[in-house]
Amino acid sequence: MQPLISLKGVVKSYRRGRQTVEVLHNLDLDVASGEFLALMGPSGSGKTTLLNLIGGLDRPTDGEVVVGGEHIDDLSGGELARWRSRHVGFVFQFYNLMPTLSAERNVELPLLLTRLSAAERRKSVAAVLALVGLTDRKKHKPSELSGGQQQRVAIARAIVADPTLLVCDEPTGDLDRETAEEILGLLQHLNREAGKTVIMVTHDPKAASFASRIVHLDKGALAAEAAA
Amino acid sequence: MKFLHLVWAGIWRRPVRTTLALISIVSAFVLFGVLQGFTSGLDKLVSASHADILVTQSQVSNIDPLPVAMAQEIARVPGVKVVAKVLYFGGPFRSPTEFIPALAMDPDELHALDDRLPVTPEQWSALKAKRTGALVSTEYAKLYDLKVGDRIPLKPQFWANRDGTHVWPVDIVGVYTTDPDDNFAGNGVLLNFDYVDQVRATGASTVNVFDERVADPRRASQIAAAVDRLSTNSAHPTRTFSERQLAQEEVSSIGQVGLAVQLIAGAVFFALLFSVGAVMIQSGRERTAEFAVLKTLGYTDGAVFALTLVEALILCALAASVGLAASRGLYPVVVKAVGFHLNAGPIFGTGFIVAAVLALVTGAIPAWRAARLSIVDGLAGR
Repeated sequence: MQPLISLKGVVKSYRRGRQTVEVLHNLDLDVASGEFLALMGPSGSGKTTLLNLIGGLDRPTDGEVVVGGEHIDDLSGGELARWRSRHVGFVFQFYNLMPTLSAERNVELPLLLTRLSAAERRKSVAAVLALVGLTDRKKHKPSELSGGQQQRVAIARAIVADPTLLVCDEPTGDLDRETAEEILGLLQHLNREAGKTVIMVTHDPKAASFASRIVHLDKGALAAEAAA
Repeated sequence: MKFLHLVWAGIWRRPVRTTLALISIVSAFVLFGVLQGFTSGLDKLVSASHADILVTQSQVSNIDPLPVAMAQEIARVPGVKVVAKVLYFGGPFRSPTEFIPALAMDPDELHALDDRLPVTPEQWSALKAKRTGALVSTEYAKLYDLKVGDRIPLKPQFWANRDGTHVWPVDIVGVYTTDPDDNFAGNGVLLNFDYVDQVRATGASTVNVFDERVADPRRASQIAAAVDRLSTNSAHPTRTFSERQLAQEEVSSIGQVGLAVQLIAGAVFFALLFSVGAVMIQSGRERTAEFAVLKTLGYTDGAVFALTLVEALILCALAASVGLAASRGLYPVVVKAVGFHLNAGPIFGTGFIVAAVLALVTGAIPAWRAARLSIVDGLAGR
């Protein structure tokens, strides 16, 4: 079966002043459609860099990144932006919501890039806010919401355009244990019930246990793999 | 339009800073609006003056007296259709700070001279019927709260009446619509020449100027020369020119007003470029992570560039609208203070072009930076 995500011989290096630092070394990884994959590893192991490549936020120095049959490393900047808007939802550790917009306006942001009417956008936003249990908080700004609620808004924003892939970078890293489990439960629900493929970077073994597969990275290479 | 709330939220991200920036831009546009009104008023003064009306005054100055009897000789000059005698009678009334320009003239002559004046036949008749009558323009009626039936004291500095005072009671018999384009009789007070002439203590049977209407404006200079030849070698040599020429000379006598005004406005906007530019750049820097998030969500570099630039455009257009509207509101105050009619002319059109240039210049750098931002660097706060 064709994997949803396929990385072959991926190398990523950065310039740091006069030095070139290779972060990922000739990395191969396949992720099947509908998987919930946890990427674990120590700081500096390349987890976020790998996540950025899969999400089309960055380009590999060498190798190929294929997602849903699309060679995203070959796409132009504009094409890659449009591809992200259609196929990927992002959830960050610090939520990255627009502080001046209400919850519903934050969730609506990806839909502004579509041809949906205002009424259709409102309907979609209301549906995902209901899914994450924040209907009564839709008019609140991020500063008026708790960390857990802000992350729920971020998840609602990530799924409102119905992407196939959810890319989550330490989504519970800024939350207390109880709230973290609620968020992880929500991601698991989206994976199991809505069929979203989820790739999550985490340091936390407890968080990783919600995934169906765990991949360990160390010094820019896959170190070990385990079924959760 | 669907992005408007996003742009609006970006503008008001820091309300205090945005308010201060708005105040500085609004202030600049208030100044711009008033200065433009001034230069535009000067231009209009010239363009609206009549080419078919000649003004004859003493070669010495326009307040030197000319004998009324000259009117009959001037009327015989070929090409002259109408002659009207005019005495400048303006000055303070009620208090030294309340000034009204006033002309003493013959109602029939002035009506025949210029039927474009916004005075109705009934108002002319009312003026002729009352010796001490006066017609007041709507602008001054509003400014000093005057109405038909009021008796007001004019206090011209040059003209004493026979009782030895400078107080001339006149009765308002009509209020005519101000014609801001007519700098001669379009805005002020019109009085009966006979009343003034019979009551004044000195200078009887003299006027300041004769106005002539000519049949063919293209022959205005030849007719003017013929009028002046009448008084060559007399005790009252005259100088005759078209109303338009007079207006041009008056404007020139003020100096290079247009240039001075443009230099002042230019200096203000040059300073504004730096202050608004600094605000826009600072705002852009603070929102690095937000731009990165927008790009993460699929907003292209071009979209982020456009959104950032539109913020600057809306900010400047909003401030320009408020500033220009406020400057228009200030016109009556400025007119009262400087005694010169301002003309809005194309200030809104010109103002919005200036606002657009200001926005493009100040918004271009942050917009370009936002567009060039690497998502990874932006999310990492670099």
